[in-house]
Amino acid sequence: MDRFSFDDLYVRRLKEHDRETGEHFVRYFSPLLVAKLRGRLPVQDIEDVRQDVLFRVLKRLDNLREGCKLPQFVLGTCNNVMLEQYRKVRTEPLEEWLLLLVGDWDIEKDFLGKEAAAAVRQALSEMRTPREAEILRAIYLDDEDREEVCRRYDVSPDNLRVLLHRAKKKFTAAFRRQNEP
Amino acid sequence: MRHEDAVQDHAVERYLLGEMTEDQRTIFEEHYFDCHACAADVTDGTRMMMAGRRVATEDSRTGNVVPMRKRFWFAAAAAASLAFTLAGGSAGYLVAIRQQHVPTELVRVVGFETGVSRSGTPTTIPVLQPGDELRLDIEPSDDAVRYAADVSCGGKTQSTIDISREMAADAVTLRLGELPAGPCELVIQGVRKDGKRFRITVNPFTVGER
Repeated sequence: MDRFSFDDLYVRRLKEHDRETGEHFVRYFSPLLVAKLRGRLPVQDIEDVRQDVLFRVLKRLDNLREGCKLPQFVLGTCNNVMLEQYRKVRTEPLEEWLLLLVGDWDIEKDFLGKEAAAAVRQALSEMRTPREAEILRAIYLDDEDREEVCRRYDVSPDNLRVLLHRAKKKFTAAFRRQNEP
Repeated sequence: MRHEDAVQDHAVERYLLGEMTEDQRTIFEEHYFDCHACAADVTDGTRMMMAGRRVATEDSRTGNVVPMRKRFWFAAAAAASLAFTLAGGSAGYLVAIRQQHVPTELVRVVGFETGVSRSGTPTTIPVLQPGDELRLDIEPSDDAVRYAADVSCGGKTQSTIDISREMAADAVTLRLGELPAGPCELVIQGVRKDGKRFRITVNPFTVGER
């Protein structure tokens, strides 16, 4: 993923429908869009908006003058699509190549598949104490204010961030292992 | 935003935890869309949070949660419902204690009765031992989309269990694990649609010395 850099050549390859570059584009930006949309939109709308953003960016690459500004172009497009999503504006029909490319990444498979679930369980089991795992479960459920979680478990917000950071490292390591050939 | 600032500020964690203001989020998003290291970190973290939510939700529905050390929740069998009926409680909330490793035998019934625990201290505060089981019958509430059971000892929460409406339709059993000896309480709360909680019952109990 890192061997790509966002520049004029990258954008030109996207315009030329270069498959490898297109797949990188989708794999790189899809999770970032999901991260941005999480908490702002219902889960069922996230996938629609993700696809809509990537469709639009790929169709409007001529509007991008400098390749290095591609990330900001994607971000700006996402902000526009979110506004429209609130207003429930319909998007235009799409060509098949766009549907195939953007539809190749799947939030259900990549973020919510059995590998991710197994990695979550692995990370929970590797936490220092069952209590830490329990705090994480409370955070994951996301049913109450973070302040309330801190108060209930008698942890500071700083400690909560550190706990999440450690969990993330364990999760990432477990997820990588899950996906090793 | 510089990458060093993002790292030092725990920006990824704060972002994932929803601690940032809208302006802070916007600034961080402008950074991480263009920063490969932060992009990877945000990707991993978001994947963990979303998968974690699904795992935690599924566990709470299926009763697989292991919320306390060596403790297990599971939906009670029909025999448990019978136990409550025998205990004389048809409405509200009752707790029965069963000895460890005798899952079908009701040893004694603890006097947690409807109303008593809400408005005051029960006349008899039960003494429990680690390994005992608490069997709960949760009074249904129209306002609750689900329920939560908190066990706290000495004012410190030991465990919080998410209980779905479906689970709460039957009796639910909690096997006590490691708890500090001394006064504890079990609080059953209803959780409204907006996530806000309201108390249904508060039941004190004492954990005896081994």
